[in-house]
Amino acid sequence: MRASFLTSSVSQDSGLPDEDRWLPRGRCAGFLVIEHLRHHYGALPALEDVSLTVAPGEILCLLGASGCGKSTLLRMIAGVEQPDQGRILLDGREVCGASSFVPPEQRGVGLVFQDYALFPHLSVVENVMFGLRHLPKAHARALAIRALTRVSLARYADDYPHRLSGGEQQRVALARALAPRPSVILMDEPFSNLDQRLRETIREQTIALLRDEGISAVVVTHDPEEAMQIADSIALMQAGRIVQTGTPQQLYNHPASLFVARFFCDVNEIEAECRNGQIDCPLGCFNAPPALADGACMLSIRPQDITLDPDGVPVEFVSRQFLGHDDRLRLRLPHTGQFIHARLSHTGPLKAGQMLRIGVVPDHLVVFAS
Amino acid sequence: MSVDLPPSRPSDRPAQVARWGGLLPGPVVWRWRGGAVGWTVASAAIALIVMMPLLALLVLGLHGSGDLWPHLLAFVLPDAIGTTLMLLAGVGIMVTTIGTLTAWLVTAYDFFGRRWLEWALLLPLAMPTYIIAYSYLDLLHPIGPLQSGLRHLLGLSSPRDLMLPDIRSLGGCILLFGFVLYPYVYISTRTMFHMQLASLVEVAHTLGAGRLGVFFRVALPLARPAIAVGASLALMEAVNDVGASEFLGVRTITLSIYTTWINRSNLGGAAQIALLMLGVIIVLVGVERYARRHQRYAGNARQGRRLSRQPLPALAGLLAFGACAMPVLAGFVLPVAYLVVEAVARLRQFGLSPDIVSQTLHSVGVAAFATVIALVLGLVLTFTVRQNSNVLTRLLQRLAGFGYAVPGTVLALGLLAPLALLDAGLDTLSQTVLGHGSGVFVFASGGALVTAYVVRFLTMSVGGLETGFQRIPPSLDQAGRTLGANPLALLLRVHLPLISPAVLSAGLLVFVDCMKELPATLLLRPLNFETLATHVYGEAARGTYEDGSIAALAIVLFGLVPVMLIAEFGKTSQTMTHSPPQTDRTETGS
Repeated sequence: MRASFLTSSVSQDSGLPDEDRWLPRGRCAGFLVIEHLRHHYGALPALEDVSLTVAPGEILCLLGASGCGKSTLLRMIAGVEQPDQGRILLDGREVCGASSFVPPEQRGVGLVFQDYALFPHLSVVENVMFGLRHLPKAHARALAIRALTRVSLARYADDYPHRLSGGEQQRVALARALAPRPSVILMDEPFSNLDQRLRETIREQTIALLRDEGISAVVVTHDPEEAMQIADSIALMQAGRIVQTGTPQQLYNHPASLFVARFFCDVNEIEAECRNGQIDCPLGCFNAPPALADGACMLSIRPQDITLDPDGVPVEFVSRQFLGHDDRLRLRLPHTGQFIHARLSHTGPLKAGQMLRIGVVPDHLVVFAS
Repeated sequence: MSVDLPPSRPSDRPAQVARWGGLLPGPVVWRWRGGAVGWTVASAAIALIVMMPLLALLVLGLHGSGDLWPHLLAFVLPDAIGTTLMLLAGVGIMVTTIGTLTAWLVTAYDFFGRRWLEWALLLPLAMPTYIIAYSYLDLLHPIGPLQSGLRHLLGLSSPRDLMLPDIRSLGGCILLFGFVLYPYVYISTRTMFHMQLASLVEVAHTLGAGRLGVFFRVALPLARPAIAVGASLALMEAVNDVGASEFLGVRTITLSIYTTWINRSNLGGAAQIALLMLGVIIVLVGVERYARRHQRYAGNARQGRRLSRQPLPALAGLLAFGACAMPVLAGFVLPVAYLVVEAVARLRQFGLSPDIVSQTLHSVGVAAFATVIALVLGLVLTFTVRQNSNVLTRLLQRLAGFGYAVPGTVLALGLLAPLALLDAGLDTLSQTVLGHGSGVFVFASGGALVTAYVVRFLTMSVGGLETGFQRIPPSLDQAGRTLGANPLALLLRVHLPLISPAVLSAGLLVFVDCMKELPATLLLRPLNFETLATHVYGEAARGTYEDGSIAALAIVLFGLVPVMLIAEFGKTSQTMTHSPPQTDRTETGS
């Protein structure tokens, strides 16, 4: 599944007839470049030297905890907020720089909000027509209806937004943002107001639509799983900075820092010692990666990379949580007293204080020099 | 959504769409980093105009004749200041007691007539202070209906046998002001009580607090900021008054400004007293702002089940009914009944005089003109903040609202010099351009009056529009902008349709307050230009109150419009708390 996402940075051909597309076939979508963006709210730094590139047709996720600056960055790309420093280029044109600023209405970006931001005084189709003012009315309406058809909401065209469910409102917002055919679409937590079940479906359909049209997208989310599911690349942000950019696999498998590792998974952090290419830690000895210098280091081990191993190190069983297809075990290292979490299945009945032997999948270890 | 989509019908080709954005280079705009420069400059100009009277007062006061001060200090001011402070203290106690008590009764309890009283308690808001004063002067006159009736009941024949305290006193003034100004406290406090959590009251009960305990230990402390806001508004009205205190023989500072100016023709002295008085007002405004700081916090923090009303047993219910009905009776029903009787008598006798018609037209015309200007200026101020909310724009908006705190007399005094300058300038200009002077065009055309109204009531327009704007989530602006609307288009296509109810209600409030305004109207109107308010004042000055009854009744009827508006708003804000948040945003929709 991930593999197909990775190859899809250019528009995939889904066999739709040309009439059903908003973008002519083969046309590349927007190319977004952000260079050294900086912004402060009073004395509070909101963005610190942020640089990013979104290739045509690429879906980029801005990932981070709330308040890390990801929504600020999105608003700056849209042009509804101005950065203190830095440049933003859309398809090679500087829309924001030291001396230039293109107001949002002339940028050609689409915005989809967490609260959808549908105009309550306009009907669904009027909402979609809002960005098509430069066209004759009948033409604009026809286009809007087509956009609504595309999200299967044409039958609600003349209803008012408040009569629609959350998922339907989200789709109207998407149709409205896409109707003027922006070069890039920006989405701010677009799925977070939907309930769990609906979210999955709407997310899949939305992303399929974006890929189908080959539109570049920047999606803000705080949910790492969501980011991994939808993104071609992820930019993880922390306190106004981008800490790592890369494909979901790169971030998951090769986190640049302990922060990145922690963000994607509840990891066990084990202090270790590297000597002569060997890492020595309470969970055993492993080959060190070639670049690692001798000295103290930190191992990050995911709970699911811990296995029951008759030849492994002994640990004391403390407690467990039943999670469905496996259990989350709380274990204690006898020497150091440090707690370790493991995701294991088929452990059978266990008693508190009972000793188990565990091993670690060595390929999945991530080491950070201290 | 390729999965579940029915195939769409091929119609016009998308390639025909004029493409904007990435492919066509759009015009690059050079901008000030903060954005909205033009709007900010316009806001600054408006704020400057509003502050002009104050600056003029300062200049006048500095150049004022000092020879009056020994006299003022010795004979006028100590008395006037003492009287004003006692009036304020008395009115403060009255409005707080009546307003808080009635608000708590109608929100916490259910009793006979409660629904009816809940909005009837707003009615005295329609009654200007000068009209209630004139009405009671007649009602309580020794040969007036109340005293005669009382004597008849007691079997007394001569007015000398029944010596009631005279209404023409400080005490009478406090009483009358209290009965018409308490709704300010009632409105703000009732809203606060409505928002209180049921759980707080229930917890207090389980912790052993009785009905009184809940009121004094929970409800009252929580409502304190709202009480302060309402009371300071009521006190500003009390300070503003000229008509009532003059006829009730209460010599307040406001009145001494008026007399120093008019009777002694001493502008400088009047300006100095006015500045002194502004000191008092600034304290009141400070209190109001300080209190409102808490109110915002308290208002935001509450979510959850609202207080449900407890039914009262028969006797307690009767007491509650009496307590709530009394201020309505005293502050509205009695004076209105008197006005109706007198008006009907005069209509029977003389019919509708053409004077009344022309006075109404004058009032309505000037008020409508001022309302439109106040709305447009208010829209500029609030939309500037909406686009670019920073220290400067917010300060400008606040400065522009300062006029409300300035009593009409002081305002008129402050406007005199700048408008005279403007007239002189216009005269010179028209002499050079047209060959003949324009004279005192601004004063003669009523322009001075309109300016005074706009300056004084601009804050109501700003406040109403601001509330309207706050109900629109900022994401709508961003969506509109990215969909190709420039700021002006955004205002016209998104904001105005959504805030039109707010525009309408703000406009009504401004309009009716202009109609009721007396002190500035008296001082700034063109010669021989009578409005309803000045007519009522004129009749009262001649001692023929009852001849002004038709005009007074008309003013009260106009005043009822915003009262109904507030009552209606109270109802919707109540129902809104029960509806899901989505419909709350869309209720202005279709």
